[in-house]
Amino acid sequence: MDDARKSVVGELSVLSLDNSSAIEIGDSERLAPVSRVLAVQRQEAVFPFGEFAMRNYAAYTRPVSLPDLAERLVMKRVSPKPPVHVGSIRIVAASSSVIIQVGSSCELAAESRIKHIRHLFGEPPAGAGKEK
Amino acid sequence: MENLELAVTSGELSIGSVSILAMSVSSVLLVGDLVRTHLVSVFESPLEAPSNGQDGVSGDG
Repeated sequence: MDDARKSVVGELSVLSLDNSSAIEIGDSERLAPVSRVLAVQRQEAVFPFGEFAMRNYAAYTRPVSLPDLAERLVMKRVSPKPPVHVGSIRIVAASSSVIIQVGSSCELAAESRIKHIRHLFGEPPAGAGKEK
Repeated sequence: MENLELAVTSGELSIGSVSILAMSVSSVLLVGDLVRTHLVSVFESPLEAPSNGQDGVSGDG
């Protein structure tokens, strides 16, 4: 960032903020929260230690196509550091890898990978086990 | 490598009040300037990723 803005926030209220989330008042160069969640729901709540390993699930390693970030990007602002004014922000809930920022940033890169597993007794529901 | 130059005439930025009930995964609320962002969300649930027989009704492990 060439120059910084002054950030002024009157009031900020956040009731719930989940993992790998960020609240930033002011400028930043780069914010990149990453979260990995493995959620297991089991009809009988018995969970032996070490039963689940994230490396066994493709959701955490599957490559994601990102835009080409190889080009050199230069941002120039034409103004004498104008301020950012926010009267109030009220957020009830923010989930994983959320960025809340009052100010400027060069790059934001949030990533969230969530794998849900449900173990139930009896027959699986219709549609389970069939590839779409 | 190609150079990409972004010129912004940034004036004073003022917002009275923001009220958000819920923000989902990999989302951004930004009051200010931003050059670029990329947001990735991978979500697998039993209904979206059907069973391979190993996890009862879900899973790819």
